[in-house]
Amino acid sequence: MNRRGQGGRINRGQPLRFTFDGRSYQGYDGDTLASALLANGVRLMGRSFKYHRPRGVITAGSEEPNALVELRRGARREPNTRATQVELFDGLEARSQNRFPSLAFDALGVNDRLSSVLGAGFYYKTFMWPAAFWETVYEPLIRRAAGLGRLAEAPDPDCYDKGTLFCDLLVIGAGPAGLAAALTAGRAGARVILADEDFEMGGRLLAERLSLGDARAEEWRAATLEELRGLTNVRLKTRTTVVGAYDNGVYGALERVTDHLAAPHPDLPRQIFWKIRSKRALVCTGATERPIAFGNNDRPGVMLAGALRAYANRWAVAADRTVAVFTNNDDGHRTAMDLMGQGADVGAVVDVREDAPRLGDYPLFAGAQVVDTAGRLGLKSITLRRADGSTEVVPCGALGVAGGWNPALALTCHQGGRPVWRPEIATFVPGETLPERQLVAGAAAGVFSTHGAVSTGVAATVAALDGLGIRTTPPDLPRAEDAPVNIRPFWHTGEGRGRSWLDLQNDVTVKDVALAHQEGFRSVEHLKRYTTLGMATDQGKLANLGALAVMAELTGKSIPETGTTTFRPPYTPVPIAALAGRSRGREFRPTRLTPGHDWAEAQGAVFVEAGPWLRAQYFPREGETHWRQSVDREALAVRSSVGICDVSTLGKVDVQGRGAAEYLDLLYANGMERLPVGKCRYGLMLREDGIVLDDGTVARLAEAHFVVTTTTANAACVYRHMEFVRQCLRPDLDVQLMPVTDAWAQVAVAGPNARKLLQRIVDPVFDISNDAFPFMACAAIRVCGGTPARLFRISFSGELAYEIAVPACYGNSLMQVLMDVGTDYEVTPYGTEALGVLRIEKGHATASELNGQTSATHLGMARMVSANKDCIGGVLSRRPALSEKGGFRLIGLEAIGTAELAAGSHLFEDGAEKTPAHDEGWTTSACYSPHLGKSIALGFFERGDVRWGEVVEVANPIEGASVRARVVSPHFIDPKGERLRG
Amino acid sequence: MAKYRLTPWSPFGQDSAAAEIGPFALMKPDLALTSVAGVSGTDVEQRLADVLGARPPGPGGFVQTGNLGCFWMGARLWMVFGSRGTCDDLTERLETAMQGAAAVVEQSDGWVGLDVTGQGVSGAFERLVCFDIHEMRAGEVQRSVIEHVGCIVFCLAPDRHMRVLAPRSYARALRRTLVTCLKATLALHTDE
Repeated sequence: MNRRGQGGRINRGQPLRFTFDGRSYQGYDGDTLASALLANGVRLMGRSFKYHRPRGVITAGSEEPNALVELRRGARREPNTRATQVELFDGLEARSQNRFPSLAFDALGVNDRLSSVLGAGFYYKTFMWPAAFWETVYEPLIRRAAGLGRLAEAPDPDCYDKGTLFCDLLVIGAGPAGLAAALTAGRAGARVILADEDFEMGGRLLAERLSLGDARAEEWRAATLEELRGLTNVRLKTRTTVVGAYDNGVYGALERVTDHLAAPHPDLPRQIFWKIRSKRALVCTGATERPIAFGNNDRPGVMLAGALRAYANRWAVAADRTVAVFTNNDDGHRTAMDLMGQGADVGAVVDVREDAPRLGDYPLFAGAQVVDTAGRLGLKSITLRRADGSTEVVPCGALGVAGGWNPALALTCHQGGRPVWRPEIATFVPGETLPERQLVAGAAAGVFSTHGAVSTGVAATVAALDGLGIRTTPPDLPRAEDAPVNIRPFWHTGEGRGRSWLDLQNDVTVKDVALAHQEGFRSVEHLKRYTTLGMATDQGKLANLGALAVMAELTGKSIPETGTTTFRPPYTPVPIAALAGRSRGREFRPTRLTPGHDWAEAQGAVFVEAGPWLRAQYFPREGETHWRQSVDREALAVRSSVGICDVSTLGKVDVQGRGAAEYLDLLYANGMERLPVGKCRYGLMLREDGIVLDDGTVARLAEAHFVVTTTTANAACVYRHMEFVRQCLRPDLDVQLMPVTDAWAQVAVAGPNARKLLQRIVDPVFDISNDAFPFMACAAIRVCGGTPARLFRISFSGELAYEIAVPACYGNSLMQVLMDVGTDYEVTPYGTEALGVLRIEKGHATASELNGQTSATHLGMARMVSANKDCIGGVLSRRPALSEKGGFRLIGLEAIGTAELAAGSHLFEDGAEKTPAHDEGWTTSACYSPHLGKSIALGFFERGDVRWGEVVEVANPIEGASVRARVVSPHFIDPKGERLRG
Repeated sequence: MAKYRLTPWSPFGQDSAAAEIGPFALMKPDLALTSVAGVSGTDVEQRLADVLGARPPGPGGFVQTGNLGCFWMGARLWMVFGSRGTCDDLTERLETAMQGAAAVVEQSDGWVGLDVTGQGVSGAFERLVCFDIHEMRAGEVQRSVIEHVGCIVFCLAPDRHMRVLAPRSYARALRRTLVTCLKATLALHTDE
């Protein structure tokens, strides 16, 4: 065990059992998986992406590139989880990834031996022939050999959520700057959200042995948090990573609600993705330490110095009993002091500076460099080169590397801002082009001392709240260390025996950057794509600056001249499931139910999704084993007697006003102004460009009162279009629109006995005989002894038919009553499938034909576009391309023999080659017509209106089928319309 | 006397809309609703005020006077509501009062309402609506998309009593969403 008997922020009274690669270990409440593994002496935690090199944890935070593990099992298996962020819980199961058969012996470690031929961009130069092998052989092989973890390949069983939060001040990061900022704003009464990705607030205060004021940092942290918890205007959000800065003060944040629990809570979302709308935001995200590249600097045990210090101070864990430090700045010496204070044996502090300070009693090698390491599966020793060129091997199991600190400034650059170089601290800091209403404080702004963090946090808060008109009284600042940054920029030790690693996640070395330079990929964006530097889960948080520095050396430019790549959200990975929130599975989108849904369900209907609606598709009866049997029966019943169908999904818009008729005349291609009261008319609505937008009916209930129906699919967009025309094109007209789709249940009653059936429920005072209520009549009536209703004599099926509407609450009852009164007519409920069959037989167009490409001429309805009036789309509908004689026309097709026609097939002259050059049209809708006893279809065919009788080939290349059919009128039944007028 | 009668059917089917989730409760208010779309240049506001006994509200507001309430839906457009049973003649009353100054449309069956009560309901609405629920005061109304559906949210008592109106066809989807969010809110509070 590498755990001290006391100290640290772990609860020794709550031991936790967990497994790693099947082996059982013990940790404590407060541990991360990484700290618990280190405490158990486990340094080897993963294998690298490309060369399968043994790797161990290098950081203690979200920037971790190496210690990526797989958690949980089955559908909950989750790859690429950073062990440094995984909060330990009892029963946790973790496995290493990207290795076979085991972590200690990985067969694909052979890649490492082939590294001389697998350098940067090797796949651009190899696998060139034979060309066909790339997709079939080479790419699958490379993908199998490389990679980061395995997906569960099963639907995620957990639920997720998302929401919106609002605040005056969003403080991102709860280190010393963030805590001071939240306290200042909270005391001022501002609405504050303080978010931190850790499960404890405090940032680096948790990892350091500092004093603040007269108290230890821990006491100040605890007191501050206690006060913040007592403020109702302050919201503390732990386990919440702010991952992106967007327009207008909007931030995206991922809250991990139950990731730290062994078993999912039945009612809690696992994660919530928050959209935070802030009036001001303060970035207090701190800084991440960067490594120095030297020979074999990737062995398990080589860590960042600040991380070694964090494990020692926060988790009472020594990565090893014997440690060394390699540094270019004073902070590395602080690590040595802290580790000594925790009882570690510091064998060497190697400082590249000749004038390195000595803070304690440890072997100091000033002006020296670490040039190599040894230890196959874990560090055993380092080789250092003194200023005089001599070398020395120092045994150690852990090496802390301190290359300086980089502000965590990603959020300051998400709106396209570029950071600026500060040579005195050798790093990029946020520039002037911050996202709107954003401020930065503390280490994120390049202020690395604790005093600096606290004071800039307060100052930025005062400035932020001043902009909101909120007065603040800055709190008394605690005294804290305020040491200056003493650093000598140092990026890598140059050529040595071992490879010097820059990007540990993508296996990019100093030599790879040199190769990119040699081959002309010198722009940072090209460097990134050529070498894969800075990609994958860590997005180069540790690697980018080192690689830029190497490229700068090679090009002779400065680092700021070399530039940085673009920072984009998310800062850390976000599961797609969290972005989807509750919208998944059956709740992917809400379901709309028709007023007659429960009745249909009780009849055993099979339902189909029609946009958000759930509609009865057909009503199977006992003995029917195939849907076609049900549909044929339903369609024939309509043609022979009477059927009823719930058509409540049709869009309905109430149109009133003295200008309503003129308005509708503009809206529709055909005339509406002179539509008599008590009459309906079929209407064709065009887009501005002359293409058909929708069709439907207009019913005139009174001089200034109309009801417009739309297709189910276009209900929303037609209403939007109607409002646009009303509000923007003709605001001068007195027109009031009100969508009433949900207010009315509407039922189609179709078939030769439709009138007789309806007469049994329509109150006797209303005469619906053929003379009194002819085809296309409409009226407000009453049914079943006084229930208000609307009756429209319109037909989609081609039969004598009506649509009857009642208030939606009566829809369910209406279906049952119609069935009850029509038993002697064998009234038959029919679903959308039979509805489709009936309308194809009649040749009525619907969404399949009105697909955004067709004009009135294509549909054979050119005469409906009135030349006697203006209408939206009228002029452009007469464009030659839409109205030329040789263009596509709606046709019918009858299969020859028993062949089945399929929608989406293409039409070719009989015997023609099946190539696009010979393609003459396509089918839009197809069905088996029980009435005609054959397969029929509708489609568009070049010059189709003058080619009736021709035999064509209907080709379905996807299924490899081609059948013959005869071109006929699109009106398969009753082309003269005698039935519907009967 | 007609042999057949139509009987009303709840948008929630045979299931009750009501639910109790810890301190939270769901209830279905039985609302009669009628929209009033004023004709430009008329005294529609005064006529509506005469019916309500108060000036009709502006954007984001609703008024409640005696048996009737009214909320703003758009330019010269209001929805008047009352309890079913006591206001069944709402549409007729408004048609009579408007005298052509407005298009009056019966809407009772077009919408479904759900009342959500219990201290801390805002915690659930944070994950439902896109506006700042904590800033909502009693007497305010907001349109918001809830689960992809355009809804209207009323604040009857801040953080204690909210009302959601949604198109009737979404009734069960809305209820399921509210129950899910209330359960999670309860669990989050318990967890804390």
